[in-house]
Amino acid sequence: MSSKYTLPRRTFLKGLGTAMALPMLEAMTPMASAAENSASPVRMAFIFFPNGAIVPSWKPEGEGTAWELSRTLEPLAPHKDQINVFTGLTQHHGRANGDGAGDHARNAGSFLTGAQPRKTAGADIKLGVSVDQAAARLIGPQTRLPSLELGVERGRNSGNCDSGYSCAYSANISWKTETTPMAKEINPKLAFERLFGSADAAKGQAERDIYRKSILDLVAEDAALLRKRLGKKDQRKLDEYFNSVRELEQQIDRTATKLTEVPEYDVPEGIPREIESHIRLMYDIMTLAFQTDTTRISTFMLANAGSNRSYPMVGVKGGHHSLSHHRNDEQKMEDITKIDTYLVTQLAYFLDKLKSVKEGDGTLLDNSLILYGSAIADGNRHSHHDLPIVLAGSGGGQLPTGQLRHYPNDTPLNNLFVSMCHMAGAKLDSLGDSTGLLKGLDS
Amino acid sequence: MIAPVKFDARFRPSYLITVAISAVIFSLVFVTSSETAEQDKPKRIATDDVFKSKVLPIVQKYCIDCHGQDDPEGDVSLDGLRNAQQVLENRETWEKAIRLLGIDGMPPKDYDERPSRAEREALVEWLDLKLYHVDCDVVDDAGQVTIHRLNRTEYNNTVRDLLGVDINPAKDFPSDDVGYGFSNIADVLSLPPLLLEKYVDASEKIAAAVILTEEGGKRKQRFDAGQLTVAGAARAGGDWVRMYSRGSAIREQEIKLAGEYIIRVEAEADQAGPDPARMEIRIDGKPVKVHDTKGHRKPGVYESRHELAAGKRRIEAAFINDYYQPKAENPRDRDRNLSVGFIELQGPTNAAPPEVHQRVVFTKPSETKSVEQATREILTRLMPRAFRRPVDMPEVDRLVKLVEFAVERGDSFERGIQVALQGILVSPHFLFRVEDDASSNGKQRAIGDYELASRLSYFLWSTMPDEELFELAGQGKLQNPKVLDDQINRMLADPKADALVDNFASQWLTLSNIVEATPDAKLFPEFTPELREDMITETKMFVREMFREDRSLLDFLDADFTFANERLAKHYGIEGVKGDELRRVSLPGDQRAGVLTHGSILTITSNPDRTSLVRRGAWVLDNILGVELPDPPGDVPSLEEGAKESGATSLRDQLKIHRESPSCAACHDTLDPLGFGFENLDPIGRWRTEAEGKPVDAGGTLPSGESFRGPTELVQILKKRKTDFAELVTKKMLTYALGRGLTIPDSCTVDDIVADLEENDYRFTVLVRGIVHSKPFLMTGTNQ
Repeated sequence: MSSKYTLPRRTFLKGLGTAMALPMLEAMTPMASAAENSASPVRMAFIFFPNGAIVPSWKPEGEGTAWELSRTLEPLAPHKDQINVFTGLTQHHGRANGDGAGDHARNAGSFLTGAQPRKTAGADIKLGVSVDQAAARLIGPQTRLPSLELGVERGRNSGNCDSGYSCAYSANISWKTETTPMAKEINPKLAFERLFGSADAAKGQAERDIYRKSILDLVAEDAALLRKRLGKKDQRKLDEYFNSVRELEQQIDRTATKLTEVPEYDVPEGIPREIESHIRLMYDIMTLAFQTDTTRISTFMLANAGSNRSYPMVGVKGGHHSLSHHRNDEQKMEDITKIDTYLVTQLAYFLDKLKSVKEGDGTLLDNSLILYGSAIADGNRHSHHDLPIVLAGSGGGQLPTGQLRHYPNDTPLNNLFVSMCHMAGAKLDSLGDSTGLLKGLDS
Repeated sequence: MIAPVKFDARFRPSYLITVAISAVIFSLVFVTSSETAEQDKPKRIATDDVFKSKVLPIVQKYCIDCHGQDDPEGDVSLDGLRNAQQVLENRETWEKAIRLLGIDGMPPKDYDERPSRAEREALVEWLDLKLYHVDCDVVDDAGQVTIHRLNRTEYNNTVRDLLGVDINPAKDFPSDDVGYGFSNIADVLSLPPLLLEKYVDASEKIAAAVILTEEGGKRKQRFDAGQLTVAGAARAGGDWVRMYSRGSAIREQEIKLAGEYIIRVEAEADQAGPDPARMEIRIDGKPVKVHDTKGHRKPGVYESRHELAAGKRRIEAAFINDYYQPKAENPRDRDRNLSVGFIELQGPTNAAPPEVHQRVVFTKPSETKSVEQATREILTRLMPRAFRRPVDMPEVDRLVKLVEFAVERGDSFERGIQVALQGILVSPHFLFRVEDDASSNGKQRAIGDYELASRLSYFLWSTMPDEELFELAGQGKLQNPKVLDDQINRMLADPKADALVDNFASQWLTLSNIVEATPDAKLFPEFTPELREDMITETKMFVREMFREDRSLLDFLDADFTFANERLAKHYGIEGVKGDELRRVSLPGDQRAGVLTHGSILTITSNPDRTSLVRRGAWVLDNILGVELPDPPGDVPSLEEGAKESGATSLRDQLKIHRESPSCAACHDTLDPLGFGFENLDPIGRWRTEAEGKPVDAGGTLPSGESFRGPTELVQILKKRKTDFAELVTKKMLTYALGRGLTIPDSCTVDDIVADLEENDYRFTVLVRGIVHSKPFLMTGTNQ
């Protein structure tokens, strides 16, 4: 598919992570084809927060369209009509199921896969394909980047991450295959340059791409020859290499038709010290990626599973994970509620951004499905049912919003994922432990 | 001999990937007796007979009550247990059982009918043999390492040693996932598309930094007024930096390639007085040229040539002869000013390209030498080092074609070599440590000479082999044990062996986690970024000293010295240390000893606002004793609820209640005292005698009955577990050396090395030699 943009060279978003609205840039809105199809594409984002939540503060009261936001979700008040809140959804494979401790590794691992991570500290890691990657296989090739994986915390580089689980499970929510986690970009500047190139690089790009393609051809051949000389496990690693080479080749092909101007957006060098700036920058970048239709699928980890970060900006001194084992201590529960609310406030910032971009008759938010949640509900007890899940956007009018939707406990979260994929045009039959589409979403 | 599960070195079965469970746990439960380990015992086997005569009756007597047929506890039913084979069939269940039995956690302590110690030991011993036993005289399994992608550190170092440029190209790569505590575990080093993109980007940057193309020499970088900073009486703004008095316009610029550069400065002057306005060019503050400006308010470009070293250079254009006579008759004679419009750098222009360039591009096509020939000469020197083995013709040919393609497109030869270098750096033969299986016929084999050179250098140096290793591999000498020993000694003496400190030890001691540590800034304003760095440096210098002096591994636990600068010494309450440099200092005897009392470890194992007994205890078990506790039960009862009922307020009292709960006690009897031992050291590692207004109580008693007061006494108790500690370090280092998790057959290697350590004062080099000479290191199984 070809997509040509006329991109005015002008300021898009100034500064970093300020609450400034995005100027309306309809000239930047995607897609000759979108106009042709008379519908904007559906964008999907999956945002993960660690350590579960304080359930009573999180859970709204009511049902259907008659409901009130909870204390934790209060920052979403301006967006209440554009969101759905779910109860009862469950990620069964977050549970031990005979594997013992390690709920945090399983939280991140199962969140988007609905699969049970194999309990291993390294040998033969195995999980399942995550929803974003399952969708990217089907609809990813329509954009320059099939998907975009973002985070704000590097993976740990030593020690045990969680009770005998490799850190690969705690540090990644996106899995391309059962054995290949999609590493996340945590540096805003590099994420931006990956999406739009850098001003420096733009000059020699055509020449560079010619050589890049020749080199990739050559190393693909290297890999094919080498593969024959190796045992089975090694072959799997070579396949991973080979697939990445192919993907980059396709990306270069699609670049030939991509926008020529880099959006003028001032991304600071390096990684911001302040976590809030960092999170907001990443949300800005997701907005830009969706707005320019550089990708339609993104994941974002607000922290690695089991993160023990502290949140002094809301007066919380303890570490997030330690506090989450509050054992019903009121002060600790209050602290965790503050963290939960703080992170929801950042989500509201993102929804603001999406809403400020006009697209057709609506906004970018309308054309999106932004899932926010965790595969642990109660961080103290490590429960994996009745998960805290918010879904913002209507997928271009396909999903009625402004509702509190109750489902029976143990309804697979993956059913919602499969439904989201269908709305985004990725008609999956199933994913992980899904048992079908999530019922009742159309009303 | 009290500890029941101690066997001679050739025959110690208790082992699994995660650790020698029972033996170690017992050493905490009982007073250790490793000194009396018996030798030359007859082989023991977990026979069916013993199962039926001893094991099964115990199980039926004590376990069936809860783990029977109907609604069994934890869904574990032992009702149908009849023969020994069933134990292996339900391996996971029995692995859990042995851990619980090892800490006397099952049946729960409040249960009336509990097995005697003798019964429990008999059960553990038999299970241990059945589950983990391996007969080292029979089993012959070197294990297999999956093809190993270079991790970020290895990539950086390999590029540095291959090409001679130290530019940290992996800085922006995504984190390498960690397995078994290390970031060099082949199975978890995946290669997602994002990383391949980064490899391609990096290859371009590296090629540009190494090889100078003609285009590169002509490259100009111009910095307009807006991109310049100012000093003195200078004002930026608009298109010019204006200097009304002494001042300068400055550009700090990263110079990638050293060499001669043309520095051009656009300037215009308000002329006044007898002399022309003068502009001095300075490099890093040093005057190198003075230009007399020409014309009044007439922009001109002033050019000069200078050598610039690589790195950040400060290029400065300064106004040096201000003249100000406001009362002069002629208005044109009143005020002399200078303005700078841009600073431009072009270069390097040298005929002789930098050394790194010449090392790679040592020949060029000429009338007598075709592009193909020149390329072939270059690549046959470069590729074997990059791929860390001899290369064959077709491999070279394919890259030669790439260079020819570039030249045919009209690019320079040098540009062609750049592209070839990129191809090398993105090739799987560079990115992976390949151990070719094609000739193995599915059988275990000794690894090849070049493969051994790589295993050695990535183990000890985290980088590619050097010339000497390549040479020995080429001569087929490296497998000779004597040669191998000489090489180990040579390599450990090389500064590159610091990689063992930075990578192996840092990860073993979880040192890098201090980057994530966020002590509360209000409670601990002393915890500055500088102090954090000091702590990291302290532990690294300490480890380096251990390694360099070939000390006993046990010194890790109770060395009476550490490294500190003034800041850290003050933090520790040590007097008489001045200045920023860390140096070796003696420790006051009763407060600190060894690595466990380093600020780094103590901070890592604390919460942001308080110490954590459990984290500190668990850290000791994980990283010193090698104990893995059973998982906590699924529904941990609320500590506070219990505490409220009993009115317990202090943490110690609350935890006491915790330990009185039978399902918690088994583990917390071990965890908590270990944590309490360090209570005198606060969340950022300072000595304290009071916490939250109450006196610190740092006393405790281990399940073995050994009591202690404070960290140094606890450390002495830990030091008695020599075998446990030696075994832990051996396993950690073997895991790191192989880049894979250990399996049951590896226990033979571990036991041999531990026995060797015991006989040789636990010296560090004995450990390294033991690993390098071991079967898993020198051989490889088939990789299926």
